[in-house]
Amino acid sequence: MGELEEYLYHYFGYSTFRNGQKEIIEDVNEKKDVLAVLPTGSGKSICYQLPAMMNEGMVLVVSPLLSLMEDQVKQMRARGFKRVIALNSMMAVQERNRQIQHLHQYQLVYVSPEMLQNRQLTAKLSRMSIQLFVIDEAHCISQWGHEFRPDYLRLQSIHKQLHAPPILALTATATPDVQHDIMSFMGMRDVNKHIHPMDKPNIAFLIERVNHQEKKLDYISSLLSSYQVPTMIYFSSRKEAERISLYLDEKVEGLRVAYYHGGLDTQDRILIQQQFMYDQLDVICCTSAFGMGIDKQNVRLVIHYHMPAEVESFIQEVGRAGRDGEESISVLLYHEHDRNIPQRLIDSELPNQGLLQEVVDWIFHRQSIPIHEVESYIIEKTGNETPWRFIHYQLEQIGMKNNSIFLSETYSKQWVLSQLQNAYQQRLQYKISKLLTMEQWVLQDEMCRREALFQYFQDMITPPNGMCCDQCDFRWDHWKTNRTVNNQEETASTWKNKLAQLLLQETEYEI
Amino acid sequence: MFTYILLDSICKLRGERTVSNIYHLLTAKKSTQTIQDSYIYQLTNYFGIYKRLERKTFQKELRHLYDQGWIEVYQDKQVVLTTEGRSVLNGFDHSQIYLNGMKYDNHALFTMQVIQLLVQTCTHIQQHHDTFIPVVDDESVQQKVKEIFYYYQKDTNTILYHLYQELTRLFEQAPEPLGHLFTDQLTTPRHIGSSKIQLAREYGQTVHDMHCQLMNLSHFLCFAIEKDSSVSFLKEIVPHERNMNLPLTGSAQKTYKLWQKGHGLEMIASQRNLKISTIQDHMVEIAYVVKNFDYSPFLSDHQLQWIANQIDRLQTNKLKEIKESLDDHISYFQIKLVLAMSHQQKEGVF
Ligand SMILES: [Zn+2]
Repeated sequence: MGELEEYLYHYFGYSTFRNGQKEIIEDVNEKKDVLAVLPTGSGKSICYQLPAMMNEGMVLVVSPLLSLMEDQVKQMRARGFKRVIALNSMMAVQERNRQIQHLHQYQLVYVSPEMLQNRQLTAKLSRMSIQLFVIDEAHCISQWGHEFRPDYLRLQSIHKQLHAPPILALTATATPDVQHDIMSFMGMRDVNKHIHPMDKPNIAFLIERVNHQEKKLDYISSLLSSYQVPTMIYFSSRKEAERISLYLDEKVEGLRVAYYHGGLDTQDRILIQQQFMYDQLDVICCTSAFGMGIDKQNVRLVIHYHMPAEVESFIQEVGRAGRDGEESISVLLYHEHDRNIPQRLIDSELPNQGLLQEVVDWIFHRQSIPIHEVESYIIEKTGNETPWRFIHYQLEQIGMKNNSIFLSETYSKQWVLSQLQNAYQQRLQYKISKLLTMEQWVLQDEMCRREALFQYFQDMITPPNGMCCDQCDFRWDHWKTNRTVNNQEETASTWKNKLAQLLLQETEYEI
Repeated sequence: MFTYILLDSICKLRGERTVSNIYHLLTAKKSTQTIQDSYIYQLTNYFGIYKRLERKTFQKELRHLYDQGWIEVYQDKQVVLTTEGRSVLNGFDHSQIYLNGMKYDNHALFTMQVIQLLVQTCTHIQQHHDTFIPVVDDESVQQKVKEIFYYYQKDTNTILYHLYQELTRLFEQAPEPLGHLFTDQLTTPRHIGSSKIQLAREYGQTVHDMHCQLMNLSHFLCFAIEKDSSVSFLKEIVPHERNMNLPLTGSAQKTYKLWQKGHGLEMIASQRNLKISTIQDHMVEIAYVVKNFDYSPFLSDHQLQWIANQIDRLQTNKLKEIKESLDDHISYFQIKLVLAMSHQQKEGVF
């Protein structure tokens, strides 16, 4: 065993690295700037977690995914590594300030990009020795990334403020343009690039077009009646996830189904995730909120009940299938009205014309206005943070932001409004073009689905090691897969027996 | 059970308050007004039992009651039961309801979660599963479980044995579904517990009913642990310390501290940069929960007696009516104080 493997075994209990991890960690340990494009589920996080554990100095991870950060902190603590913390702006102010004061006690610190606007935090960080500056979901830096986040554009100046430690930029999906954006924006020099193909040879692609929405239900229930395997079904609405979950529960004999979305209690979310993890559930009907934090190896089937708004999300979600390398299948169900759903999502992510006008009127009327007032107004009005991030960034670009207030004095209202409207139009067009690309993939029937899907990201595709797609060679009866073992224990008849079974089951052996 | 709670609340409010008051009561939006109302209308049991209830859902449920013809809504959003609603309410068996929101509030959930996490931790460690994702996220619960675990020197057999003995004893005295519900939620290495939504389906109830059932379960636990002298292990690990935190709003809590130091109302108001009427509201809140409240700076004995007599005679909680039956120089503040104190005498609060 090499030295790195020994550390890996010691901290994580694995004796070998997964594809690409080792090379990245070696570069990181040599203090090089690294850009890594690794498919979901390939263990991106080990690339900075291991250096955090084995080296001197703190590792700072910037990530926009709150729940993912928290899951990782939990998992690391569960493994016995306690010097890890996640800071986010949802915390109570006092609690946060206390944690910032004690930050030097931690070796691995996760922060959300918004948090880096907190001056107390950046002041504290700049006094500490940071060995590695990790940018997770680095595609958010790029205007051409599907999830552009204006907050990410502040990372450049913050990185300088922290005395420019080595950078590790990580993402699961990045076209060559986006890769270029990331490196040039962060001023990364002599970058060691680790670009791994995103296609997995063990996933077959299938598109099922229906002429009636309810046919989707028939399709899924007959599919799951024949294949009771670990399955994730993605929906773009919570309501639908719930409805179909209940339907399948009633319709398919013996199938264990549950739904999961951001509206559940924390405890219910943990329980459902764990049940799925341990094969107590066969099927999860979920929104995109599910899946980021869990590392389930044996998902066999990923079904998209609705078409996602862009190819990147689709690839990421499909990538949760077959992490153990066994043959797995992606099914996308499509009805021609489905294009309206992502269209609606796009609308809700961008501020509409009326809101832009309203905000500009307001700022010019007041002349100077605290930023947080605008923030809470927009978030309350739209029920979504994305429009606020958009407006905030645009006003900052224009130069109206002055510390914590927006100032209107030196500008013409008409000009500001037209700047915002242009930016809005551009973003809208971009999002719509993303949606069209997705739809094009769904509707094309000339090419191999695998080749068509990955052509934007890589030149070559890895030849599949099982079936390829419904254009090439796919046949359900050629799919060799095993039913999930239903390891349900005999349930005791009374609660008292059950309680004894749960609490005292091992005691006899140990006495 | 949720329907019962809604109907019961509406019944007790006697049409003197709006539906919003019920919503605030259930979600424990701790405002002085909510707390005062819950005392006045004897609704302290339901205080804060559904903190995550969304207003939309609440309105939908009320709509349902309305469609059933069980309630009537007046123009100004006050609600009353119809005759039918009243008979539905009377049809419910409420002998198995242990809810006591004002008393147990956050302690109930805390107790429940400590026991759940303790079971998960001990069964995992005992069976050599050293890494697991805790089913409870709350830091204070995790901290508590750690303390217990180390206090008992990681002796999982002893902890689990005590838990089994005492929980069995408590649930044997409980109405039937509670023992089931409790065990169904437990997580061990062999089995992850059921979620609220799954339990609701299993028992053929709505999620809201199940929420109330589970709250009832946790309140039952608190109640039984407190009452049964033989469950010494549970008493030790999740004691309910009385009056450790008076059920006051945070702001009233601060006022109370200054008041105890001997500061007068005007002084507190100027120190805290608040209106004097706000500080007076805090005093009313305090008068509901503090024993032997010293009313002398605000009321003479004579005034107290007089106001109390009027309240008795009128049999109403409507401030305006009471005020009109008294002299002009008696203030609303004084009337509210007397209402608060007379409530304490009746209920023997805490
Ligand atoms: Zn193909």
